Amino acid sequence: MAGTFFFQVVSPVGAVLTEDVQFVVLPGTEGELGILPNHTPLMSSVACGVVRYTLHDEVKKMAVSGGFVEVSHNQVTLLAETAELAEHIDCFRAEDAKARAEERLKVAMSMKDANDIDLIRAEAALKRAISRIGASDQGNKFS
Amino acid sequence: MEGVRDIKRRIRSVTSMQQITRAMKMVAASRLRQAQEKAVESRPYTQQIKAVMERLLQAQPEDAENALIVKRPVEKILYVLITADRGLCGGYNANLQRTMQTILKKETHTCSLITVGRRGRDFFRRQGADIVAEFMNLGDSPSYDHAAVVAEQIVHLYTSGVVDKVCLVYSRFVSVLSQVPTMLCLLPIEPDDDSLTGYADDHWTQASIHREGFRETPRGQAADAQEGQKVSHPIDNYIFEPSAHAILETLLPLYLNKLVYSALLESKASEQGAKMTAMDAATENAKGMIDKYTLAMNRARQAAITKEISEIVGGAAALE
Repeated sequence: MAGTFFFQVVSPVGAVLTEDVQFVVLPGTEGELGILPNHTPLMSSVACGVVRYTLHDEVKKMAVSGGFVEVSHNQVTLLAETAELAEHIDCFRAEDAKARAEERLKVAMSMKDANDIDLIRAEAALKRAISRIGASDQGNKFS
Repeated sequence: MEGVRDIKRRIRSVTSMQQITRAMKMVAASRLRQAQEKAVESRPYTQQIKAVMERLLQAQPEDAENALIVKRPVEKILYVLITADRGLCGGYNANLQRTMQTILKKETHTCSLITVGRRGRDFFRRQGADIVAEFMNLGDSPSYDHAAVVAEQIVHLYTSGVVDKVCLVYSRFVSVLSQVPTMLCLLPIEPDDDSLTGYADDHWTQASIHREGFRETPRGQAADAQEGQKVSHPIDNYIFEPSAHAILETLLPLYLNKLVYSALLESKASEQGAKMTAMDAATENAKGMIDKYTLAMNRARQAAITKEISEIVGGAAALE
């Protein structure tokens, strides 16, 4: 391994993670971003999805819902609107949320005078639920 | 003169009031603490988002032509007033309402209002002000989601051209004893305005809470050092993905969310601070009243006893 770099995830409700990691994969809006030590300075918007990071040769996951990442001088800062570590995610609740979001999406789509905002909200909620399930430890059992 | 029984009843009622005000004071104290802790927790995010925005604007100044930054001629101003949902917090709501009213009177442009909190809404509805949106029941610990909803509405009104300037009126938390109604311009965003970016985060939380926080750890210090380095070489050749412009476009609403979130937290802290002070005073007053009534009761009892004795003595003397 080429070494480690500093990775911090902060959300409005607090710092979620501050660790020296070996590798990070982020869900950028333009596709997945893999970041290794000594990455060139980069700023990117981050989509809703799963962040994977390698800490002490172990891959860990977390769910984020949109935000920003800044990479410079071996320091990666992820500003996320929400961020949850895999071990803090309640998979059953996420499944419930997913079902609810699907229901809402169906309702929003079936209405002819579909309110765009409702549709966008339902879609965003569904994406968040899916990324939470994807990030959770138990997630694989259900899919 | 009231009888002993009447006075006793009064003492009982004041005592139970005192119990309630004392409990309310303690509840307010704990909620104040909660709001302060939340603000401390949101501080790293604030610092980072501010830093990223500065660097972004530094690296690509020509891209600063964002809809939320560019100034337009002002015709209509939107004021966002943050008050409490409930009373029983001293002059907190009244102060905010008065401040808002003074601003509205002075203003020569057309004004509309967004009210957060029931008190402000009720007051300005009675005044016949133009309230375009209202938010209520944010609860005792405002969440980031609440702030996001409010901010979304603001951005919508601004970008659709309904209003040309947005100001926030809220209560700044100076200390438990002092909350100052303050006005802050939200939109258009002025990137190098220090009062805008640093206002809510350091001055009011540091004095009262010392927590093992993000910044206090050695890791945090290392990060600070690295950040210092970065500032000295600001013009990094950043890769922007998708583009600096697009990043700015998503960053600014997030930044606005955060500003509203801080203001909500600070207002909540102010409210609870005002409530604490008011309830403390009420408890003190109740104590004073109880003392007064106890004295009156003892006097009444004494008088009754004296009267009884003199009656007995008088009666005995009459028999002889």
